[in-house]
Amino acid sequence: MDEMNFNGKSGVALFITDDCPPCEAVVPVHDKFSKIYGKDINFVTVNIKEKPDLAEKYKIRSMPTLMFMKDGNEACSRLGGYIETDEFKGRIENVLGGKCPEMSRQKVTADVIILGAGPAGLSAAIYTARSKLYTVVIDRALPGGQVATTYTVENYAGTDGPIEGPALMENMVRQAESFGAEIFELKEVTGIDFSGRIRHVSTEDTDYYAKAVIIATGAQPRHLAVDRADELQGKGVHYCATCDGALYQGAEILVVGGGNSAVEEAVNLAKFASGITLVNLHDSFTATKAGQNALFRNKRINVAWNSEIVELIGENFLEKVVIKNRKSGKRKTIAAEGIFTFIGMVPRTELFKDSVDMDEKGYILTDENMETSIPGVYACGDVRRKNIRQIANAVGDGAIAAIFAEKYISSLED
Amino acid sequence: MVKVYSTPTCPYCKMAKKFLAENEVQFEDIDVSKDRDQAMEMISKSGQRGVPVIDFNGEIIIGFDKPRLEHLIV
Ligand SMILES: Cc1cc2nc3c(=O)[nH]c(=O)nc-3n(C[C@H](O)[C@H](O)[C@H](O)COP(=O)(O)OP(=O)(O)OC[C@H]3O[C@@H](n4cnc5c(N)ncnc54)[C@H](O)[C@@H]3O)c2cc1C
Repeated sequence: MDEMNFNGKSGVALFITDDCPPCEAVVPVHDKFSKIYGKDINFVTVNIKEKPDLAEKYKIRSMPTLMFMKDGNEACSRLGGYIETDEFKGRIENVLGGKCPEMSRQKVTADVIILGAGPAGLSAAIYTARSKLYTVVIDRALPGGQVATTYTVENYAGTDGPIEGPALMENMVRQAESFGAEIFELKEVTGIDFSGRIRHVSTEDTDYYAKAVIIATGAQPRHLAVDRADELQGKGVHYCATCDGALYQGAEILVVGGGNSAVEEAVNLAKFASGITLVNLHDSFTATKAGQNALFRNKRINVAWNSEIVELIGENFLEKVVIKNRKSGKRKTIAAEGIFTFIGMVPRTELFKDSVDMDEKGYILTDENMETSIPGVYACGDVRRKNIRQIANAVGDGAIAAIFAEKYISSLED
Repeated sequence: MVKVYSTPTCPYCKMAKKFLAENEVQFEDIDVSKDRDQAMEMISKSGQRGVPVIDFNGEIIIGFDKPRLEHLIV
């Protein structure tokens, strides 16, 4: 039994933490209501620094959260972020009147909502949270974006030598959280409405509201365009070397592509595979010289220039691959258990198709301030139309988007 | 019994394990990059050579399939 039980009676629990502006705003309101309604409903305030177990038990993931109890069960929907006094009062009356016995969707009101916790989104969060804007970051996966699937990063400034992708991203997460950014992980954004002055973003169980939105949903790997590629995905056809590379110990594999990702990941995969054929459409690579040197030095890797994959053979698993030389027209069948493909990315922008302007490939158009065609809605990182897509400029974009989002919000207050 | 076949570097494996832990599901974590026999067992059980694969009391789940896991947990 804990203080949330309220002896089976109704109650309002406010979860707060230190250094959190929206918490400071709601505490006096909570106190005021406890004087008005205290006879009929119990009020408690829980500082999660003192009672982490309680927050864990009720899965309280962001501060502040207001939670309502009726007859020992959670009732109505939780409120979070900036909590409006009228809405707070309405909830209390609904609980007392038995108007919302079932727990329903949670509502969170923030200053800024950031969609995606890759380098661009986290960089933006560091800036907005540090400026004391209440910042919510939502990611369908765990924070980290594409970098969380990268073995090592060698070209991001300030890392004192090569750093593992996941470690770099853990640092960014910690930095954003240290300023008070709230990261909601494993929540896919499935709905958006940017038409009103207050923007609305929804996930399966929560509605988020804020004045400014920063889109940082990044990109995902382009799929191999060969018959049966989708059918054989996970059965030989792969897009993430850090995920599945280790299952190809001692195997013959193919890597497809010619850019930095293909060249670097081929070198990483050579730690597992017995032999690698790198299939490249052209007669040169676009990867950096440093990457190419490492590749050419590796005896386990050979390159099929001017070539493309034309057929995948295998019953339940990939067994053989037919490649074709585009110059000579010659076909060759190679025994291979796996193919790792790095042929570029496609932006994750389906959701925004009808709201912000995009180019024909689905990249979002922004001005130099990262603002999209809708004022107060920004885009940064790999989702934007631009020529170079790297961590360094994703982080740069994020900083710019955040600074202009902040200016936008203060212009509304004037 | 719940078994998670994973590799240490795979982000979807981390997600799956975190999700199970948050939902108080006890599981055995099997690193298939280290254990070839277990890797073969995973491949034959699932028909898959990608991780994670979750054996949830005999039901085989491929990838981090949150809706299916949620369904099984309740
Ligand atoms: C294999 C590989 C190796 C690389 N190596 C390097 C390197 O060495 N150096 C370098 O500078 N760059 C490298 N890059 C490129 C770099 O990773 C990207 O430029 C960078 O990650 C872009 O950051 P981002 O934040 O814009 O997007 P992403 O990293 O793609 O992050 C976007 C985030 O948004 C989330 N998201 C998407 N849709 C939704 C939704 N609907 N709801 C909620 N969340 C959503 C995703 O889950 C993801 O976490 C590499 C890329 C790959 C694939």
